[in-house]
Amino acid sequence: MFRRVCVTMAGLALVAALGLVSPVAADEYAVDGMHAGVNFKISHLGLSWVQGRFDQFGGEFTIDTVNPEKSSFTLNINPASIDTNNQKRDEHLRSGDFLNVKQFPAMKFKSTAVRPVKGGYEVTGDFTMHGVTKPVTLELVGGHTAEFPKGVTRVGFSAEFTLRRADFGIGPITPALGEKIYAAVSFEGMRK
Amino acid sequence: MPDATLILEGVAAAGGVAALVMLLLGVWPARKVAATAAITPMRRSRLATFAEVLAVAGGMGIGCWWLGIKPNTPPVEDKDRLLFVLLPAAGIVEILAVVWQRRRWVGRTLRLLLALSLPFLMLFGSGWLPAKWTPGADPTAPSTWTEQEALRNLVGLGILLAAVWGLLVWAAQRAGGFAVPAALGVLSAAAGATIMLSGYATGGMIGLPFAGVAAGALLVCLLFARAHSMTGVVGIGTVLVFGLLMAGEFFGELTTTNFTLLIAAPVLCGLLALPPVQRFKPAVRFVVVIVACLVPAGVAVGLAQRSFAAATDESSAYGAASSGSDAPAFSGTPAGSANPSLLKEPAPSRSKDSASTPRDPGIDEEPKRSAPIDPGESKN
Repeated sequence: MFRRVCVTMAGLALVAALGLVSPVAADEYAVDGMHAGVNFKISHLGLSWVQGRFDQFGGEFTIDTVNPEKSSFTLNINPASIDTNNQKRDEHLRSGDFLNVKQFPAMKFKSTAVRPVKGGYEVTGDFTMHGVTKPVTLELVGGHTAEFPKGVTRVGFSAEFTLRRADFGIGPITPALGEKIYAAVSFEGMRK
Repeated sequence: MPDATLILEGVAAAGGVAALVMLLLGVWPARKVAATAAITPMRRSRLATFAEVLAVAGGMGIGCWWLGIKPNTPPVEDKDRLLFVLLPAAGIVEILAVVWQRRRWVGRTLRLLLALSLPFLMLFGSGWLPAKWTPGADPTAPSTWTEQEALRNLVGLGILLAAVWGLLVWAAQRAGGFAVPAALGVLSAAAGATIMLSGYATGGMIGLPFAGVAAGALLVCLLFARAHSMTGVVGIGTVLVFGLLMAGEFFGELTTTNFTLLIAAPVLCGLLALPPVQRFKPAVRFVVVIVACLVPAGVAVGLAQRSFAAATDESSAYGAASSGSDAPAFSGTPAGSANPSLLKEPAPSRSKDSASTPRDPGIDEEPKRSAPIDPGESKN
């Protein structure tokens, strides 16, 4: 009887130990808005760049170190928070001429496929802007982790990509503006 | 802001097409039929209304194309729904109203239904309405109005449109009613200009071709077919002006004062019913109504222009201030030696050829970018 109890206890201990040391397949992170940015620039008259950013955004992502293809990324942006350092221009950009933020109050990127590449991930996903959803591929560079503050594990990524206004139904209001939007995102995520 | 010459060309093209369609489909067939058989006033009215609707469709189509207005298909936003859903619906309503003109309740009911639907369709799927009113939307998404507020505002706007539409059709059917489509033409141009000055250029531009359409259709009617009520033009024009004002108010920066002035202006067409005005000659009645509408519309355009100019001055104020002696110089050219011609903003070319399009540094070549810096690299 004593022997049977010992064997059972040992078995349970082994199972528990295996459970504790086995790697967590996927880590979930929430984007830290304090250490993130969504920036863009667009040509003006072919002479200079108008630079801007979105002040309000959030998102979450999952990093699966065992099966990176199962990782996922979601980023939500409030288009009404556009900021080009000029209030009147920002109001015009929010209007129906451009982003029409009252009609389309959300911009979103949701990944559909993730592939590990050297230095990061190649993330393909659906990007929705101005009510139009198009597939976009981002090369997310980074993925290194740090603990800051103590006890909070964080990981960071950056990406640069180009969008065409016409693809998203944001028409040529004026020939002064370039067709391409050069965007850059950089974010840290805090492990949940 | 679009080029003034381009706008005039677009308005003229819209007017020319509308006049041509009226001649070919309205005046000429009516005369041909009248030469061989007796044509009743009712048949003439149906034919004319049908021709008016087609004239507006043709004129608006050409005018919008000329001005470079490219609505999305299928419709996704306010101006798309105005052009592709609401204006055709208004045309159909006016045709059905004249087909069943002996049963007046048909036309009145259809106008009321469309008027009540318009505010909802203009705001459909937007952040103004509760998200659960939009199929497929995230029901937890925030909205500007609660359900009660949305219902109250939509019904209120719908009733306002129904009242204005009813008044204008009634005024158009009275003696001297040909002033009503003329007034609507003037108002659509004024509303378009005001909305363009209020930060919604592509929305406001939709109003401009209708000014040409109303002028062209009215001219043909007065010259060749004697004046009639032109309820087709009036119905579509009313829906267009109201839709434009809603677009400017809810998706642009049109002020409530200007919205009120521009919605009050067509109501003044009701002056036609006043006995003193009825005693005037037709030409004088026409002038009275147009002037009465022009006053509030002109005030609205003036207020919008003043606000636009103030905003432009404000934007350039820092640049002007920075050119003072105490301010740091931002230009590489020494003060006083600058060539004035270099200070002018290059006028964007109206040509569609790429040869004259300003060069976009982002189009000709990809910007020279180094690989994104990996913040984590420094640790390795």
